[in-house]
Amino acid sequence: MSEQRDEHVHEHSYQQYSLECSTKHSNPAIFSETLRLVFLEKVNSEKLQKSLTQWVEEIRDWTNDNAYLVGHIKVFVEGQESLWLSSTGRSINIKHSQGWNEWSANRVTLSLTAIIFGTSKEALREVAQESIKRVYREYGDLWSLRNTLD
Amino acid sequence: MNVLLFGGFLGSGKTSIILQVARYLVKGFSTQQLESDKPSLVIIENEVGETGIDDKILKAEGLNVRELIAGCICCTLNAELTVCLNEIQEELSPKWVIIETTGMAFPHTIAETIAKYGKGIDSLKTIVVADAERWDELSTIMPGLIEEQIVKANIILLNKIDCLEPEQVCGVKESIRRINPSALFYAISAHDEVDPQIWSKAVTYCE
Repeated sequence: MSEQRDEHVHEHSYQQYSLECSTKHSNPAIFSETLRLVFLEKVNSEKLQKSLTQWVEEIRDWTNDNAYLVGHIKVFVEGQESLWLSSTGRSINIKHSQGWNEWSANRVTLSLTAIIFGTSKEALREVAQESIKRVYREYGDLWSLRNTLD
Repeated sequence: MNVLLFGGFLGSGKTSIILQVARYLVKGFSTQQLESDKPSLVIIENEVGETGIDDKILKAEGLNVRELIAGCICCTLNAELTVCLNEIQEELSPKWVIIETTGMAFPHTIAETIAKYGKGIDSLKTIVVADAERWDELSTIMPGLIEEQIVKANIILLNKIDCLEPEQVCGVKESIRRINPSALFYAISAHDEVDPQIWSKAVTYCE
């Protein structure tokens, strides 16, 4: 695992950790954003789920390829229906509300969090943002993401 | 108030388990409790990220959730936790409070704070969720954190046992038992519906 560390100073650090010092823990990189997306046309839940699963996969694969450690990667889609994706670096767990499969919308609120050990906040942010732009560019539905990311 | 303090590393399944425990507790409430303006169960959700996700998952289930985000209640948000808990006691005085810590927190540090400064606490139990799937990896990379999360737990839930063979589960159990031989121990898979008797035993133990 890379020894590169987040610049953010947290009270805890594994490098200083010992059982005698119980207020020390690690300082992972955290990407945590809420995005409000507006689509030109209604997007169905299957397509949305596929896109977001791809985002989780890309963060997971980048983490594994660089021998970093996934704390967790989570996505929550908030709307009339809800979707919850999570991964600890292996499989991706998918849970959703009862009516999710029949749902479609042209506005959704996404909450995205990735907590990764071994990289910097800046590196993670760049990868996470590029990934979500790339994922949606492929589907061609999105037009308002840039404003919310900047 | 009876406080259930949930700890355990990132991704161990704390939120999934809390959802099941919350459903179990709500089922036991009387009609009067369910119709009251004051909830009988309040969940305090602590997340290190600036955007909370677990609180939204719990709220989507109709649960009453208070958020403490962008920090950790075992260190940077220690005082905020005490204030939040005491506000809940004064305003709502619920029968149950569930606290979900961040995956990097030391639950026993939080338990000490609550025991010292919390008002109206009838019982306080620390429930730590261990990730069976990643046990070998995490206990190698971060042995200090993992051990200290577990060592003073009252109840240990070894989650994701569906990802391992039975003999591997036994191996992880032995490893955990060496760290904390006295806690109540249950091996579960929160991916599926957990036997309510497990929650019954854990809750009874806490009352």
